[in-house]
Amino acid sequence: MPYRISDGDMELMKIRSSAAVARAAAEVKPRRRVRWAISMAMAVSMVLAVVAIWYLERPMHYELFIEQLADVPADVLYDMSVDVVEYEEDITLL
Amino acid sequence: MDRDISQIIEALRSSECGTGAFDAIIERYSERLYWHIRRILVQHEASEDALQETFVKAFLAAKSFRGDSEGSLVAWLYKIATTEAIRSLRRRKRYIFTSIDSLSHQLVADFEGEIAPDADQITVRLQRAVLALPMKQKLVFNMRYFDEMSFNDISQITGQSVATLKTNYHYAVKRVKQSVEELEYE
Repeated sequence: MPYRISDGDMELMKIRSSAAVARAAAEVKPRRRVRWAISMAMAVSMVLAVVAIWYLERPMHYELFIEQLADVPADVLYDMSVDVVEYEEDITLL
Repeated sequence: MDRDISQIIEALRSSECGTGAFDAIIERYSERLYWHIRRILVQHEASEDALQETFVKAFLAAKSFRGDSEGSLVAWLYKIATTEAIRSLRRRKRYIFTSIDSLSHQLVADFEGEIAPDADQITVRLQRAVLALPMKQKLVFNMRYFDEMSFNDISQITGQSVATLKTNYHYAVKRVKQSVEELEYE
C-alpha cells in the first residue's frame, strides 16, 4: 500500500483496540447489573400487585362469615334475621 | 496467541464472550480491517479510531453473530468496519444533505500528504484513481481488487445484490483504467 505507516503502528493499534474492547467490557458489566436489578424489581412488584388484587377482590369465604357470626350475641342475630324477613316482605309487597 | 478459528467463533457465539476471545480476533484481523478502513478514510488517525470503534461495536454485538465459518466472521467484521468508516466520513462532511461522494477531492488531497516516501508510483496513481470513485464503486473495487473477496461475500457486507456489485465493479475498473491512463500522460 502506498500509505505512510510506521513499523510499530500496527502493533500499537492492536494494543489500543484491545484496551478499547476491555474498557467497553468493563462499562457493560455494571450496566448489565443495573438493568438486571431494575427488571427484577419490576417483576417482584408485578407479582406483589397481582397478589394484592387477588387478596382484595377475593370472594368472602363462607366459613369465615360463620366464624364471625359465632361472636355475635343471639338476640342481635335474631334482630338481624327479623330485619331481613321484614325487608324481604317489603320487597314482595312492592 | 493465534487461537484456532473454530474456538474463536465458539467463544464469540457463547453467551459470555470474554475479551480473551476478542484479543484473538484483534490479533488476527486488525491489519486487514485497518487497510480496508484506511483505503476509505485515507488518514491514519481517523482509520485507527474507526478500527477501534469497529472492534468495540463487534464486541458489544457479539451475541448477534450467527455465522459458523471464518468467511462469515470476516464478512461480519468488514460490514461493521465499512459502516464505521462511512460514519466517520459523514462526520467530515460540511453539509448534511450533500453526498459523501462530494468528499472525493478532499480524500485525494489528503492522500498526497499520506503517501509513503518509498511508495511505488504505479500504486500511488492507482490509489488516486480509486479515491476519485463514487463510494459504491470504491467499496466494491477495494474489496474485490485489494482484498480478493468474492462477489457473494461483498454482497453480504454491503447488502447489495451480486448483479449490482458486478455492474459497479465493471464501471469502477473502467474509470480506474481511464484515470490511470490520464494521470500517466499528465
